Amino acid sequence: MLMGIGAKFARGCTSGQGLSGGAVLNVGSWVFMLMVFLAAYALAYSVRRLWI
Amino acid sequence: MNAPFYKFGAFGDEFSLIVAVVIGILFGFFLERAGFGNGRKLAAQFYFRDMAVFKVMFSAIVTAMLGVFYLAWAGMLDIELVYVGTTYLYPQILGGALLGAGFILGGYCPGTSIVAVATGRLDAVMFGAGVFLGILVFGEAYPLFAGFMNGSNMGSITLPDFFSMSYGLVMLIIVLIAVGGFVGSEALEKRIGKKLSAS
Repeated sequence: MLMGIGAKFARGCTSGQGLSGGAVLNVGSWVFMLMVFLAAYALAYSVRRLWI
Repeated sequence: MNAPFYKFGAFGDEFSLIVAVVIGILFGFFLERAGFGNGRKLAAQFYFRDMAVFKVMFSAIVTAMLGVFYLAWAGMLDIELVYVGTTYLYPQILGGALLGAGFILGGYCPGTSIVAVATGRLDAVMFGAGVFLGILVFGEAYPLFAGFMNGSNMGSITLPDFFSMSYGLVMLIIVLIAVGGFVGSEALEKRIGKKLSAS
């Protein structure tokens, strides 16, 4: 659910914003990708039980 | 022949949909072959165990970026016609943060979850159902934050515009960041990833 809501707010997903937007140097896309990685790394430690 | 093919009318609406399907199938195929249909592999990224996601994404961005630039330089692509999405700063910051949270909790991004559904992974089916539910909730609640969504519109702004640097310089910086990131991520894999696996 988070994913769907996030993708709508950002007007695109990892592929649409990150890859296509990143390649044409779109400012919003780079901000978006930065936030994706920041949020994931920030949360990674607290949910490490899920994956490690 | 000049690109973008679609905008120069090399083919019409219907054929463009066929092209999209063919490209989509190839995209999905290679994502799966890269191992990106597996939530564990994707999530390993965030524990510095397997930086493949970062490397593949950055390579893809750099390849496409250089491709667009050199095709334009060779006169085969009209860069003015290449679609540059509109930047809405705050919604994109929020959306990115939510997507990142969903990524680490669910193990997929929207695209890779579809790939994983195609290979029959049940966790991805649940994830996909969640994505659709999220989109539905967003759609229903949209009037509540329509103002937020349409505020902070910065237009189709690119990094060279934003930093008032030349296109070439920005590309050089990104390529350097990518190469540095590849080297750095492998070092991190070795140091932190191993430590985590041991514990």
